[in-house]
Amino acid sequence: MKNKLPWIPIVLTAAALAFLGLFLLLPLAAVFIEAFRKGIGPYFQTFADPYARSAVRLTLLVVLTAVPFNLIFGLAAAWAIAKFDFRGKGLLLTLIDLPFAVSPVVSGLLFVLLFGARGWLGPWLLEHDIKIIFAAPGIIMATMFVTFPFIARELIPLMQSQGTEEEQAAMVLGAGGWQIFRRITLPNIKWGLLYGIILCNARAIGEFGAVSVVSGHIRGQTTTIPLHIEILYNEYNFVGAFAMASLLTLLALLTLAVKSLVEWKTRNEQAAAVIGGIE
Amino acid sequence: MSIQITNISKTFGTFKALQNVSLTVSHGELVALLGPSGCGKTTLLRIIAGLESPDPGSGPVLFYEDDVSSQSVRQRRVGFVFQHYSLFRHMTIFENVAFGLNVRPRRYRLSKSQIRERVFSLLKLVQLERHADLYPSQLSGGQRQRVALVRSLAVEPKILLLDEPFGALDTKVRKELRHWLRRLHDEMSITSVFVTHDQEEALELADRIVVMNAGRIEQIGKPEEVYDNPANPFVFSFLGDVNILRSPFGSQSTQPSATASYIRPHDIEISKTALDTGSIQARILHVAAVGPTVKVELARLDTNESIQAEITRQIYKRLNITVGQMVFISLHNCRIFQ
Repeated sequence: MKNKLPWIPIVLTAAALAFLGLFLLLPLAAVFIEAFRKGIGPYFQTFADPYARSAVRLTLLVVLTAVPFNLIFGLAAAWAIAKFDFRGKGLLLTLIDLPFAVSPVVSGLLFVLLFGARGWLGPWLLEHDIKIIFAAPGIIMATMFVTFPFIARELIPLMQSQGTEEEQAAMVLGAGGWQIFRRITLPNIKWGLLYGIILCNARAIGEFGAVSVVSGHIRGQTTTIPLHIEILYNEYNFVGAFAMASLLTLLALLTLAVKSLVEWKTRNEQAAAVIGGIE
Repeated sequence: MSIQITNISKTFGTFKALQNVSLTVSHGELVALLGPSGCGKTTLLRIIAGLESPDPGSGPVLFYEDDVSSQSVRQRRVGFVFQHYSLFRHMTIFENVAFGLNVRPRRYRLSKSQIRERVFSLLKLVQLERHADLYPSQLSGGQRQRVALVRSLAVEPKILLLDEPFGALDTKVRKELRHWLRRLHDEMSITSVFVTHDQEEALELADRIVVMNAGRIEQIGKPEEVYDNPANPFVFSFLGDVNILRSPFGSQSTQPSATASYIRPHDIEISKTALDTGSIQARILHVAAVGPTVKVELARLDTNESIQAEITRQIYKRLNITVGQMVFISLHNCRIFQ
């Protein structure tokens, strides 16, 4: 069909590009420009600061506990929902979505309400000398809660679309539960799973709201990278704040690159399956 | 007895998929479960395999006199071929066929070279040894079907269960695979049960046919028994084309009676003159002379009921009939049901 108004696509594309430039590329560039405003020396000095190092360490600890936890429970929840029928399945699905629906700040407050000094379990925790709120456990738990849906949500539709016939075939051939999972289910979902892990990981690193509420902002002890950035910014240490922010930005760019690679890989495999499937 | 099941019922919610079904299959038999979709034939097959459990209160499932009712699918060790083959899409054809051998507990597992030998001998049997390194998505439907079959045979089951084994294939491939399955079954000395909704497939392939409808068994018998002596109108109409005549033949009454006469099109004889007192007059409405037989549509002169007849090409040529012509028809093997 001949296009009667050739300028329309050009205008639309230009508008989209202008929007993207203004709201995505410009801030992205600004982060690095601000971070290097006083040169390379001050930029790297930010990371020599013990508080900054402690924030990076805490963030790594949070990610390394929250992501594996969500990996195991997300897989278990997706497996149960996609492959079995049971009462309360709808309720479970709603519960998995809950962290998406609730504001992260509210999630954080929930944990304070539960484990804080004046919370429901506060007195008991105090008695046994267990610190959760204003300590690393609280930050980890809040992050787990907020990032819980990512892996489960990614896997449920994938596993549902694949059905259970291959698992049944494996069962008839004599495979046990673990063998079926390792040899049939896992290979079929590996790319979806990796995609979920990447998203979960990105969110766990960057989570601010819920973590901010339970952290107490104790420098060198309970500040993660996003919280440390806030502190630096409030102290007018812009180079420091943007240097830390550039770290998160680089992580985000890396995540995007890996994500695109995974998407490209899945699309290729699906395309191969479709082309091969034509009889 | 290879398989013996007694009084099996199965309910899904409020839907009664099976109601008090009993069945016995002898060793080495090839039995077809035949019926329209939703009649419970696949459910019955899955209960035999252990993929579904029957309702409480159902009788036992016996394999060679052993009660396997409480055994899991894994323990029953049957071969099962799924309707859509369910090949493992991320494994090569070789890995698919070897799967059942590779997941055995280490004590019973064959060595790598023995597994290789077994898999290749099976692939040779279905002429797919050159495809061992391909993935299922690279094979045609018929080839996938053959892989699914040898995959289930690799673990040497005594009982082979097939769910609509040829359902997703085109007619030509279906017919080839049918003969091939029959040969394989005879060579392996195995007991096989297959589900189908295709009466031609059941009649051609099976030693015995179990005709099912609405969760019940309507008739069990050899193909010629169920075809020539159907137990009831359902079996009669399900096994082939049929004319259902409401008015008795030869009587002068044009009132529809409580009984109906069932007759197959090929049991209707067309002649130019009355053969006997049972012959009645009819007018030819339509002739379709394509294919191995000639299909003739007629209208009874007395009641105007429409009748389908099938005659051979030779008879058609000899009779030299044309549309609109008056002829006599007589019935052979007419069955009367309430």
